Amino acid sequence: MSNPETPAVVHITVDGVEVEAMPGEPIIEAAGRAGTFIPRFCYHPRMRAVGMCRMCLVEVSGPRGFSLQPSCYLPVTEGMQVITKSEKVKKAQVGVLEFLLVNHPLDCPVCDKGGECPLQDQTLAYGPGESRFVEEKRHWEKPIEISKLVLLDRERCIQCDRCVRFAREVAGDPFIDFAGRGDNSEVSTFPDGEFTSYFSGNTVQICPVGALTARPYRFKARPWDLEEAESTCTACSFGCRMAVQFSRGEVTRFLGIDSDVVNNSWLCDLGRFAYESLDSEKRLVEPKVRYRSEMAEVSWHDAMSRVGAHIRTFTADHGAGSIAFLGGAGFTNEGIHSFVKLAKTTIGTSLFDADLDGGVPASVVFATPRATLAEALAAKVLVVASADVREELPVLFLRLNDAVKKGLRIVEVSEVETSISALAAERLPLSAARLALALQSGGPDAERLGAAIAAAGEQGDGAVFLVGKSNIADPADVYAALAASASRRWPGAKFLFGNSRANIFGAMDLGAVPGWLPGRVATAPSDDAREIIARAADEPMLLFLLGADPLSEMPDTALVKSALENATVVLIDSFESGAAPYADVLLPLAAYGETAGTTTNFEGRVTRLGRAIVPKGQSKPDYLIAAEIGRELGRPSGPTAPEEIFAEMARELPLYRGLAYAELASNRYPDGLVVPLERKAISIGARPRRLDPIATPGLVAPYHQGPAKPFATEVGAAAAEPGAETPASPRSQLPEVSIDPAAVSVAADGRLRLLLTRRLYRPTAQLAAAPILSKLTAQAEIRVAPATLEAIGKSDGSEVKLRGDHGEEVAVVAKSDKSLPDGVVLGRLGDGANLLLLVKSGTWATHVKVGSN
Amino acid sequence: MTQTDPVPKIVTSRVGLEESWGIKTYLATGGYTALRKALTSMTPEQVADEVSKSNLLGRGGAGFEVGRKWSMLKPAPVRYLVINGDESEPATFKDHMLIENDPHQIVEGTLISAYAVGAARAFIFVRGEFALGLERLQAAVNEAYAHGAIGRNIFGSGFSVDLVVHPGAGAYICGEETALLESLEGKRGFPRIKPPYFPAVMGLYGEPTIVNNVESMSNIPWIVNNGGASFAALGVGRSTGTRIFALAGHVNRPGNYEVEMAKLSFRELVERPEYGGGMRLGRQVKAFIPGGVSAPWFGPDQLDMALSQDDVAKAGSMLGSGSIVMMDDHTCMVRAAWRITKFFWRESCGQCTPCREGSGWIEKMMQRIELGSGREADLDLLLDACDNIAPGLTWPPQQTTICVLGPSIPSSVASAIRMFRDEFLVHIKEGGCPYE
Amino acid sequence: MGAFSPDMRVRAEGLIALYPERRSALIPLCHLAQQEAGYLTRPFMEEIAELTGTTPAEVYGTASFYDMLHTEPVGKYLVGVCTNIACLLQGGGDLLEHAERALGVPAGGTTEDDMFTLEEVECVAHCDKAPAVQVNYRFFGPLTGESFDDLTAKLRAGEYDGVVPPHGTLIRVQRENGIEVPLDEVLAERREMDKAKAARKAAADAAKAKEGN
Repeated sequence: MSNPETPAVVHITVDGVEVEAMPGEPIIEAAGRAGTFIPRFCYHPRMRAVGMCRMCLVEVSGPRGFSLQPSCYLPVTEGMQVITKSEKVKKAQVGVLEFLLVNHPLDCPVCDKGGECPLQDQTLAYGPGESRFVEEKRHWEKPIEISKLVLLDRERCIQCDRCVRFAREVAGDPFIDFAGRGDNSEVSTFPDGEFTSYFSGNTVQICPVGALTARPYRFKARPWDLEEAESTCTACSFGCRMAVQFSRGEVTRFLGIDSDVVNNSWLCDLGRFAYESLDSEKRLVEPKVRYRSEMAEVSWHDAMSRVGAHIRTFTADHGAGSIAFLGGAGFTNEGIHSFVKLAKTTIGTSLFDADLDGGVPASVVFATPRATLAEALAAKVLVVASADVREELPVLFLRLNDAVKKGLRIVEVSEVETSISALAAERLPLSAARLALALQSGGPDAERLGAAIAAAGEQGDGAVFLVGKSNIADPADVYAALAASASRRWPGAKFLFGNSRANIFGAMDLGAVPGWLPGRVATAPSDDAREIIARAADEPMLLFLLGADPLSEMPDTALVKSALENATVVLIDSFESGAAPYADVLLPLAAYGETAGTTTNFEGRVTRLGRAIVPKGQSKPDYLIAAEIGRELGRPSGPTAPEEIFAEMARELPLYRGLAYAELASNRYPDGLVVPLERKAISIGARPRRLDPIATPGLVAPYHQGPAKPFATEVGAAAAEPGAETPASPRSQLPEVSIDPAAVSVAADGRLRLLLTRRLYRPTAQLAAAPILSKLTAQAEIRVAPATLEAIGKSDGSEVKLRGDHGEEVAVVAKSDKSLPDGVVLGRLGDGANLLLLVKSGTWATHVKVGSN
Repeated sequence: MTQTDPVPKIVTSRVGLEESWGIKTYLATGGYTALRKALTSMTPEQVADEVSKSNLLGRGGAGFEVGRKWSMLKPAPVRYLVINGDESEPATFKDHMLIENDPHQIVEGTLISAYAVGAARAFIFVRGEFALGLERLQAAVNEAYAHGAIGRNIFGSGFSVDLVVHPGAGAYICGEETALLESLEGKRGFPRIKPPYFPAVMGLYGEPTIVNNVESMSNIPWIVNNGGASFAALGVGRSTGTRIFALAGHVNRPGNYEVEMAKLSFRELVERPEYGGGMRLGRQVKAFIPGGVSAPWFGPDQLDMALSQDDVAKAGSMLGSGSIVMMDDHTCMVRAAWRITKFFWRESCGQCTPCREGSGWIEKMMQRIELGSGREADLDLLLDACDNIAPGLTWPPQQTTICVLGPSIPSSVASAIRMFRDEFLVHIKEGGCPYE
Repeated sequence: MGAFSPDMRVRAEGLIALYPERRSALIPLCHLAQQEAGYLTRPFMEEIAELTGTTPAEVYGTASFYDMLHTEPVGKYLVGVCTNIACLLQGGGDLLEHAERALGVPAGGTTEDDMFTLEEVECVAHCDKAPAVQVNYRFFGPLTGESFDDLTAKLRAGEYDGVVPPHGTLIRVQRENGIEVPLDEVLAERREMDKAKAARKAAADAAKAKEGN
């Protein structure tokens, strides 16, 4: 939204050379693009400039001649003259560096930052040759633990304010601040408090010295020993771009890559420190099969024989329809494609569901116009009707926080307060079911939403909806109905979906969900995961669990248990999950960083995964396991390398037409591409990422830093980003989904409707294998209105008993929450109590009674 | 030049009266007549016009014309007025006296100014350590409320405004106007980075804000009652009216003296019996600080300079906060400069590198020299470190820092080395202070 | 349940109401908390965070910037000896050395009986009475070693009770009225004033133009 009076470019001179700059941008950026690097510490391109370190002082022309000015802060103006290399500038640079070193310890040899340290590097390039400081330096106790993940060495701190600014402004978690004054200033938590932010690792990433270090990385490697593979995080479906760094066959850390269109260099701690579990003892690294009641390590050959025998037996005895594949949302596109082929072609079963969550179904996802993230952030209004974004798609929360500051208007639809509530201009306190019903039948609630998004007009043009499953206890139909009716009501609106499993959208695209074949091609409906589980409890079935654990991911625990007990289970996973004890065969799956391929994020953006190290033990990548099974069945599946499988996908499926595996990691498309590509010819030129080695120290490989962007491309890039308008998404294909009024009924006799949610650190087998992250999972709890606790004579934080409609009982800690609406109990999954037990498959609403015992 | 006879007491007329801080005394001595006059018989423009005519120079330190500052206020729906009573410049004690002895005069001046600039609310930020002053100022506000001078429809004029007395909590930097605003917003007192250069564009809560000094406000009632022209008739050139000089150090009668601007010389202020009464023990002047410890020092040869903002500026220093510190020939210049450096080190907010680290380093070097571990090379090192904070060591200074506290650090160190290099060398050669 | 007593909580809420934004009351609330507890205890900082819409880390970070706010316990009397330039020239340095000897603690220390915390302070703007000393922000001077000892003896004996307030100190700064005119109402009034001003300017400009013709 450019002001017509703002000129498109302004002209400045940098060291006598004329440079075109964007109005409002700081000198440091304009000069950088023209090839003049100005040293800096506090400046970070993704945060507000503060001009505190004074390293970037340059001479700037003004009414009273040239003066030293912070180039990170001062915006360019027409005709401005900038001098970056005069004696005066050099003296200022030497002076600032000398001052910074006055109290900075000279412990570079033992400092994690040594070798990738902006202070070290810039001292070498711009600093004084020798120290003139002979006095005693400032001393602090060091290091101190400011959270379980992050340690602080205050002696090394140069007070650049990056971490404090990040916590306050980017993450909205001001749990650290400067304390004290002058050269006694320190970064500090509240005394005995903790820096409890889901995003704390970013402060380590952006620290320009070794003041903030991450416990999982400390003393593990030297920067010059690190190799790097560019990749995409698979902790959720947001798809943050990141660098996997490794040394001597071991993954040592992840760093966020500054992708304009995705994560702006940020990561959440769950994604950033996921590598903790890779080398865990708890990894599944050998194939195992069950002999009588014991699991025994066997060769892949023997394991495959057992799997082949099962497939043949079940096909012969019960038909291919007795074989089902559950999961795969954590697999690569190539792995999913291979397994779908195996299931649907080789074996001949249609039973495949990657979506154990029962989220928004593919039928709705494919029939609504999909927004890109960039479109959502620039929308006239963004309607968020989803689970708490910070818990499910954490970095999306950061992008929304930023976008709201830049003018994005968010309207939230949620019964309970979430992290989005503080950002939203308005919150409609409605359940998803109530809104869906209202949109179908009209009425005041629908009008309220209409009024709230009036800026988008009658047709909803420029409005974007983020629809996701806000209550685990709800059936998927609620969300299908919500999105479908919203799309009918506002045909101009675009959609994003909050299904958060890493590659769930790739799985949908590749036919790993019921009713769909690869390439978003519809086919006859078939059973979904819940129905498969229900069947497995009653009849003989062979279940392939593809990196999935129905016990921790699906409700109705009793039913899931009896299904797993009854069925023959082949578990393909990197960790021994809760389903492992029920397995007949365990096949070790290569973990993240051990496998190449591609993944698809929630926009439909296909990006490359980096293979950094070899699979641990006997584990194999997903696509190879599918190929092994195919070979065992005497039906080799064709290509067995990711680039070949991808080429096959691009050749056979129109959805991927025009994509080339190698291109996806090129300078041309460093952040991948959203599928399907628009049919019109696209010419967007090279879009290498911004060049700022100080923004994320340690990211040094040339292919993701790239040369400076040509000015014209930078300006035009956002507009040229290929859209996601799917040719195969006519609104006429929107499913008609009806909602039972029971979904909004109010229970009698004091029973409360259960609203069940997840938190970021959810108890999974992978998290349990991560030494530090595993300490962050919270206990399961419920939140109830204060009156509810009073009525049963319980105090805040004491244990209560929940009784379901079918006699299930769960003892759980209850917290009092004034913000809760009447008639609702908010359950938050976690360690300990299993709240999933209370949810019965096939019910429209789950009610519980809160009792004292 | 001689002063007008008698010199009108514009701001200190009530100092010394019984209960000078109470409304009874204030009303008996013409209090609140100016506010009534302004609100009921003048437009806001007319008030601002009189203040412009008076050429009242801001009394906080920078000496910027009050009227001109008001005219720079960005027109916006919400505007604020903030009065700076955070007097912390060492050896400056005039605002302290005004707040304790004539708080109503400040309140009245503030209310008139709020009317002139159309402020939505006025805040008087008072240095937290002035506990008694805060009590009396708040009591004055309470009395003014009861008198109908604050709140709704003041004196039936249709003008409403509120005035909040806000206590600081001990930080010199909050005297810097943008740090003061941060502090008033409940934050750490970090000066804001410029541009915007003036709070008149972006101030309290991001709204256009006028920040004026307490003594400036104390002048406003007199200007309204007597007209800007009468004020401008006093003094010389741009230095109009009267001004309080806080005279401290080695004089017989340290104290606050309201004198006509630019009519007296430093020597007259120091020597006249009704003012400083001469140097203590009849000693000679070795050096003096003409305008607060941020100012470069003067020597005895500059004693005959007039107390004029422009003359002092031309000579390479400033009248600044109006504090004059006299040092006699028994004073150790190294120790004096060290103590001032120590002050800036303790008061540096820590936001930007040169001030945060430079102040501490320079203090350590000064301490070393005074205590006998100095090296001859330290003098050039000191000057170079100073130069890295205030490039060129010129006056008015250039700076590598965010705010002017940075270039205030070198003033005393560079003055002392420049004027008394030999004394430094004696410290270094003798391994200690010769005055001990 | 909160750290503030019910009376003080009322005063705290009154202070918050004086400002267009809650956080502005942070420092006044810290003064209030020190009145109750002598220093800023953690429960107080937590309650101030809640009252001002900040986090405890921000309250701690802000409070620790300011000399008058203490996040650790201090003595009943904060005795600050000024050694800045005006006092230094009149013997402030010697007075501080005397005070350290007399109280038996270095600057920054608290006497064993928790009666005095000795501080070396910057200029207290009492320079005509140099060397000056502040006791809980009441000023004394000029002092000699002898008169300093006399002062501390009298403080110990309670002879200054009622004159020198207990630490916290600003408790007597009490506003009697709330904000009488809500900001919205004042802003409406200002809009009218601005309109009238613009009209006067237009009229004046028109008159000038007429004259010019």
